[in-house]
Amino acid sequence: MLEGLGRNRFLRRGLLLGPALFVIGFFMILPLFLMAYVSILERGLAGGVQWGQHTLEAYVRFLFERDLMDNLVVNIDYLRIFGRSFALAFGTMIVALAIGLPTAFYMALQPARWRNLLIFLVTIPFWTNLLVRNYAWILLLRDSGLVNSGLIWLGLTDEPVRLLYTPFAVGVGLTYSFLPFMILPIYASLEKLDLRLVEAAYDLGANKWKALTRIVLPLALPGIAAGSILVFIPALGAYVTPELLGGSRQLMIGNLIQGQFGAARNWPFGAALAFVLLAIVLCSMMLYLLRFRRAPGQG
Amino acid sequence: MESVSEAAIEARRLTKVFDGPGGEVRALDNVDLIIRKNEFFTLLGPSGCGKTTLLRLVAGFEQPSGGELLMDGEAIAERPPHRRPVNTVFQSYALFPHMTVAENVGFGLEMMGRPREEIGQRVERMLALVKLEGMGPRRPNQLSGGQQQRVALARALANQPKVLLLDEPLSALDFKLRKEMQIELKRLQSETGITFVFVTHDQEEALTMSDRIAVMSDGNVLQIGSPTEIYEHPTSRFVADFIGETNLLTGRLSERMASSLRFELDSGGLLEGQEDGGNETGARVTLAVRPERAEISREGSGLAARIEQIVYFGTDTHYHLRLDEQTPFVVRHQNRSGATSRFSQGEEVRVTISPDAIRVLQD
Ligand SMILES: Nc1ncnc2c1ncn2[C@@H]1O[C@H](COP(=O)(O)OP(=O)(O)O)[C@@H](O)[C@H]1O
Ligand SMILES: [Mg+2]
Repeated sequence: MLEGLGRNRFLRRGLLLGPALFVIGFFMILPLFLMAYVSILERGLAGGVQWGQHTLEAYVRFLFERDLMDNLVVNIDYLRIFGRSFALAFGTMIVALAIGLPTAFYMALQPARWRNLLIFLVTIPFWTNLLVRNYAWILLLRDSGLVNSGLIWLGLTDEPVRLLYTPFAVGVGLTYSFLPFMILPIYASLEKLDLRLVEAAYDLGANKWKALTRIVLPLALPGIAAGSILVFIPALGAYVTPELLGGSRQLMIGNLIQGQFGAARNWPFGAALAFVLLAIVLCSMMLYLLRFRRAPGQG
Repeated sequence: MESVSEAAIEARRLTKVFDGPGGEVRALDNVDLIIRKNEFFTLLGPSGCGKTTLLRLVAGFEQPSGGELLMDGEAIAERPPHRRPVNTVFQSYALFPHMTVAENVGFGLEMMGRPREEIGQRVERMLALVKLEGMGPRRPNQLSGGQQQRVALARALANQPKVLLLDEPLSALDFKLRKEMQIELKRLQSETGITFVFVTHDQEEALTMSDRIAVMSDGNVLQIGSPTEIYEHPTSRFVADFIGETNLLTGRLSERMASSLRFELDSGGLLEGQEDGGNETGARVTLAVRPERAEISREGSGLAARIEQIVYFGTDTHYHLRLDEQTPFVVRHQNRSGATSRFSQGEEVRVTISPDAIRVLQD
């Protein structure tokens, strides 16, 4: 009897966990191992890899190149692309935060029946394809686009300002694409916030600014942290936006990796780049979480 | 009328109207009120009568729709909450969950820009005052309901406000803890000398704790007075009924005699009283009699009644009577001798009420 129950429980647990384990294993762990393996293989001459021929060449290539005498020379081209990607992703996160925080505040302070409508409005951009939205930005930002026509019409400039194919264009595109990921988590944490705590702060002598910085922001911090992560990470790996709005000179990591699997036909290097990116993201996430887990309530 | 100088808070025809979904709600309707310095003042009334609204007006969270609100003789309606010498103990405590107990208690001092050492010392003293020594480093969610209550109290007292507002601070506590905290609050009030404005819907709590009570109903203040005045001399049917148990009798002021009055009850009997409540001879009146102020006996000249039920309470016994087969009437008899009930159910008895126990209500 007991034995049957035990086995039964084991079986049931297995059945319940099964689908999740399958999804994680098949769609996450397995591809990850495949990528790791590909990154330490010799490249195939016409793309692909030479199975069974192991080398760390791909990782060496990230920082060095070989001159004619086969000596290693430092090459920071790739590092620079990584740097640019981080700068763009970080800038996107900051701008999204600067826009998203007041927006979320505004939404949370509206009467309950308006809020759902506002949430709906925030998510409307998701209804169109990312590609289409980025093309729309091309139409707005190009030399003969709406922004430049407007500037000329206002007499602020005589000839079009170069907007498209600049870091600015990429930043605008990324911010626009990921803004809802910033607004929604912050809104969620603000909406839960007990307004009586703000009243208590006023009651104890806090002015609006103090109530905001000492009560509201610390309590909204989980939402702010979640929003920042949700914007920073996809922006870091963005592919479509820099491809369309950045042109050939504003490569980001995503474009670089795509290029290795595509035109450059260097799969191991592409896989290695993806791995370096993953490692950096994981490390920075851990630092971030450590910092923000401790921050509230101090001082 | 009190002189202005001894009024901590004064409301003049104070009115607050809310726009609810179902039309206007008159939460306060022309309230006149004086709260004296250093007194324990209680707002007592059923839920929804406007007690919280009055506190929120004093604290500054709401703006009056009409009338005046003075603090120390100065109009304060324009002043924002953080610039009023008033602190609140919220019904929900509203402790900051992301701060420690010490940080909560020190928050107000920090807002006043006090130096760190002073804040630290004052926090220690406040925690000692509410008997929470050593709890400073904890988070509010690591405390029991009663302890959270004390933190809220310490936090509100730390700023040394002129007036402390307490919105049903004990309603979430269990019976025993509530009794303890009642005594505690009373002690704190006399030790600090701060004016307490205490809100409750519990009449017993109001009677035991207050220097003065304002009884509220439906946005109006019906009566203000000491617990004895409110209990012994209720002026309205609502106050008489809301505070303690009371017997209401309707009738007519039938006759004035040399030193007393005579009332003719609708149930048929005659009662002798002392006060006329400002009524003319012949006017219809409502009389209130406390159950402990009436006596029953087997014979004599009192009102005729029949015992319907006898309820034994240990310290006393309640006799539920009916006067002349219609009006209910309760008599409370204190059990002094330990003897079992002198009367039995269904017995015909007489009820005697001494003339000074009869109150004439104004409505
Ligand atoms: N913000 C508000 N909006 C609309 N009506 C309110 C608001 N606050 C209170 N009221 C109404 O005012 C009346 C008095 O409320 P309140 O002061 O909270 O009563 P109490 O504290 O005595 O229970 C109630 O009818 C309540 O519904
Ligand atoms: Mg209330």
